[in-house]
Amino acid sequence: MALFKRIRKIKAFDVFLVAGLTALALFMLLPIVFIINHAFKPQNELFLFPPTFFVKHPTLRSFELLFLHAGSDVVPFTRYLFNSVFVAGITLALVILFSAMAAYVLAKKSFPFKSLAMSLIMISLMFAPETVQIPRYLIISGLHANNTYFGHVLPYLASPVAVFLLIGFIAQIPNELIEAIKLDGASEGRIFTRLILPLSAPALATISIFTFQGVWTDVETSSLFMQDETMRTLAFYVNSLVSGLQNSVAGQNMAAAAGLLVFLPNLIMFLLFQRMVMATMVHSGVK
Amino acid sequence: MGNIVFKHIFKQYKGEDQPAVRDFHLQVEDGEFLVLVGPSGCGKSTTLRMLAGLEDITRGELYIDGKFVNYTSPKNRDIAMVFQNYALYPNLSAYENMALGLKLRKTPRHDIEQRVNRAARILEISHLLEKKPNQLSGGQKQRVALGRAIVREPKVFLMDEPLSNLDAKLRAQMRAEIIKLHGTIRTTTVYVTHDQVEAMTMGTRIVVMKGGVIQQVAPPRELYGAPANLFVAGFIGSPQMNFLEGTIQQRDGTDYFANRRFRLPVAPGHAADLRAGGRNLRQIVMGIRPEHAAILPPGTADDDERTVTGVVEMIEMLGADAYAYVKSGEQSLIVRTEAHTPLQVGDPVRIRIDMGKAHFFDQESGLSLRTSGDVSE
Repeated sequence: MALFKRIRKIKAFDVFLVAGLTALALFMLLPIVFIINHAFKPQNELFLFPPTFFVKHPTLRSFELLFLHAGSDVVPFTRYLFNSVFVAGITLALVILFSAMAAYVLAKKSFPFKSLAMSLIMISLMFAPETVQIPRYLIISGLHANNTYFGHVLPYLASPVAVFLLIGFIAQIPNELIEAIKLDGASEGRIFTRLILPLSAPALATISIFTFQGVWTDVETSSLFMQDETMRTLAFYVNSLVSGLQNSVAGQNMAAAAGLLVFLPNLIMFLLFQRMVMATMVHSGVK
Repeated sequence: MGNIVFKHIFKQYKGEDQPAVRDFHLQVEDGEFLVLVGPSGCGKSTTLRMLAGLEDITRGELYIDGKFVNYTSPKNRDIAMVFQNYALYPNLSAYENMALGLKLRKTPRHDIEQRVNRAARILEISHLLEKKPNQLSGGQKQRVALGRAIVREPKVFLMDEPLSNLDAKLRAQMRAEIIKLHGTIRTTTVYVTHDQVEAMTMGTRIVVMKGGVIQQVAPPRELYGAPANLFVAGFIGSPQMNFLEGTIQQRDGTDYFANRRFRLPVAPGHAADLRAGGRNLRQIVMGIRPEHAAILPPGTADDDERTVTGVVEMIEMLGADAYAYVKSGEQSLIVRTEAHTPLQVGDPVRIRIDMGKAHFFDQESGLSLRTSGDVSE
């Protein structure tokens, strides 16, 4: 009876919404399904026409080729992988640290030229990345950061989007909390680590997701600033694999497997942090 | 131990013409429960925040426990504060909230545990220590916030309207608990509120402020019985004191307070106060509290001079008592009566005023003209 009542309450529009959104979600899921299946296809299935979504005889052959046999001349695949993981990890940590520090000061402190600083950050949001490639190159080479991990990390450190997101978030942290912890004996450093960082966790999760995606899939730093092949990242390698081997029959396996490997960490990052993104708990301690 | 000295303290905010706090000069004794009370914007919170070190002092000197602390950072002033909105750290459990201050001060762990548990026992929140703030009710949050202050064992407690987010019943209960707590630990407390009932019930001494200036500093009884000026007289007491405008006139050797509608004989004890110092007696405000006026039963002999006539406009029932709002010409008077007095709106009544309890103020300066306390009529 109760079930019947609940069913009667459902409106036609709700049905339409749920059905429509489900269909859309499934459609958006297709490339993911494809990329996962593709990586496990044996050679002959890769070239089927019309192409299929689902793998019929799954095999790890593509991964074997990628890990054991691929690599340009002297650089093994694992070196690219290490570079990517290392660069992404360092960049993520530093972006979070710097953005949060900048945002805390801009949101909660008053000092001369504060609005000027804010406008400068705002302006920097307007430049398309392509327009700053040449100045970036000049800076990196001026600092002799070519072929170093520093050269990978530096272009990402100042993240206006992250700073803006965090300013909005930190501004919502009640001043009383900061005053309370001050009276409790915290220095500015402790206020930042004990209060601001934990309370900004949802915003930091969001920043982590998009920063990681940006760095992980970036080919610019590798192609412009790194002349030494051993310093280039996975994204660059996969990119060159896919574009360089378009007509090569043998390379397709590796491209398929590498595609999955580039995609997976993004997915993991997202699944890891999406619950934190939803959770906002800043206001639960005050009324 | 925890005495506080304010020496001519001023607070001037940038871009404002008037100082927010002007010449705040006061000494708070160790163990005192001092309440700062006043309408919003009177500078009471600013004063508290200067004491806490959250606001700079523009001019004047501040001493806590004999030490000059104008430029001492909040964490080195040995004070603890309870905020209006509790300000609990939402990411920490109740226990961690209370322990953080001690942890930041490098207190040994077993000591922290002991102090937090003792505070939790006093505040009856031992069973809540594992909970996060969002799992606590308003009253429980406030207890944790109090606990966070008392575990620190500071020289001075500062409380900034700690009860105003609670509902009426809980507020009365927490009020009693804070008084009890102060009785147990005897730490100097400075408490800010805009609620005169809270001020009257809690303070050992009350500072009434208005426009950044101290109006009067006195224990509750004195504040109620002998307000220094019109503002204090009107602010303390609910419903508020009745004010009547008039002049002092002499007739047949007796002083009368008179205006166009009535003529009331001033009690002899007060007449001398009024006459002293050659004051302008043409612009006088007489104040009388609702409980010092009474509605005479109908049919009482009409020979008492100390009466005013009027018409009942409204009756406010409070249970044991009732307040009758009586209109007398232009003037409205509030009179306390017993709840069972048979009164109807529109009834003509005669009000007997206890002139020995009357207060007299200079209309222009607002200052009280009464130097003796209550006298007989």
